[in-house]
Parts: sequence; structure tokens; C-alpha cells
Amino acid sequence: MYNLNKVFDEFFNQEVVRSFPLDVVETKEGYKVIAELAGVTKENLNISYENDYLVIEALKKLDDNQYLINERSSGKYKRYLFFKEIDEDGITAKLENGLLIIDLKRKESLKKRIVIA
Amino acid sequence: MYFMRNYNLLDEFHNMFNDAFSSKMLKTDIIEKENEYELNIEMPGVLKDNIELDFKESYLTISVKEEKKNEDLKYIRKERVSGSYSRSYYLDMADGENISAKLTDGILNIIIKKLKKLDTKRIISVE
Repeated sequence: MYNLNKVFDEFFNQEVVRSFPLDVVETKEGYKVIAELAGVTKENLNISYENDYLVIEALKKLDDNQYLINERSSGKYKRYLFFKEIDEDGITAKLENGLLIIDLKRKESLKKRIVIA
Repeated sequence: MYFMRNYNLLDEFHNMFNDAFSSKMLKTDIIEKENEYELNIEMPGVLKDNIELDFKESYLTISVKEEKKNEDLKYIRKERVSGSYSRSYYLDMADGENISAKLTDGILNIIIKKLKKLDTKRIISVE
């Protein structure tokens, strides 16, 4: 039984990048991203924030086997999320039970204090 | 309750769970080896206590209960699907007494040994 996904990948001769479901929630400090990445380990995960974009990159590796049923797709998973005014040093991430949870802190707005003479 | 032929109380139980296959939940890989079956089922964020696994007459059934959260979250984006899901797999010659399951990184890994084929050839002597 051949892997239909592989056939399409090879036909178009491009590296297929897949998506994954995620939720974005507004928090007191900023935002929380909850992404589903079952089977992905820390070593195969790359998270970065650049030019207002949070980039999540993951690699799912599946063993080469004779599958009776193969619904899971191996390969590259990548998503870009736009977040403005984020404190770059205030981004934390943890991987638990196949869920990637990223906490982003909003940049402290530079309040201008007007002194009354 | 709409009319269903051969309706019994057990159906009521199964109706609580959505069919995983049609809604693309519980993505599964099944590998068949000479002496066993190996299943890898995706269930990110699911806790051990919310998983029910049973085996009957060559059918392995998995039911995943939704974790009801009391949080009032302000969603900016919602793609994850929630709910209780159930799915059954037909595994020929699987030994229901020999199943092990482990949950790691959101994947439930199940190994089921196969029943040994009985050597049923017998020579009958004629008196």
C-alpha cells in the first residue's frame, strides 16, 4: 500500500509544508498560542519571533514501515502568526502531551508622563 | 429519538461520542507485523484518565472524553476541535488478552499480540 501523500509530494517536486491546528487566546499579559503537535519532540521543534511574526517550525518523523493504515503525515510543519508589539524577551514555550503552548507578553507601552509645572 | 432499527441501550452510550473517523480526529497509523499489531493514535492534550480502550471480537475501540474546562477564554483564533470521540478498528487474529498501551507526547502507542494460528490438522485413524 503506497503512501498517497508521498506520491503527490514527489510529483510536484516541492517540499510540502503542512499546517496544524492552533488556538490563539488573549491573556492579561498578552497572548497564548496552543498548537497541536502530537509526536513532536523538543529536538524537532523550532520557534522564533522576527519582524512581528511568530514562526513555529516542526518536523514529524515517521518510521519507514509497512502500514495497514497511514493517516498521520510525516514531514515539515510550519506556521507564521502575526503578533504586533511583543516583548521579544517575554516569550516562553512549553511542550506537554503533544501540545505546544507559547506565552507572549505585550510590550510595555511607553507612557509619556506629563509633568504639571 | 429518530427511528432506528435494532435500537438498544448500548447505542445510547455510543451516541455520546462522535465518530472520530468521519471528523478526522484520532489520526491513526496501524502497522502489521508478523506477531503483533502496532497502533499510533494522535490525541494531543488528552489526559490518560480520559481514555477508554476496550477489545471485543477482534474490534479495538477507543473512546476519548472531552475535558470540560470552566475557563472563559478570549479566543482570537480557534481551530482546535473539542469533544468526545470514539473509533473502532478491526484487527484480525488479535489477542485481546495481550494488549499494552502507552501515552507519550500526545500519541497513544498500542501493541497487540496476534493469536497463534492453531495447528488444526489431526490424523484420524480408521478402525
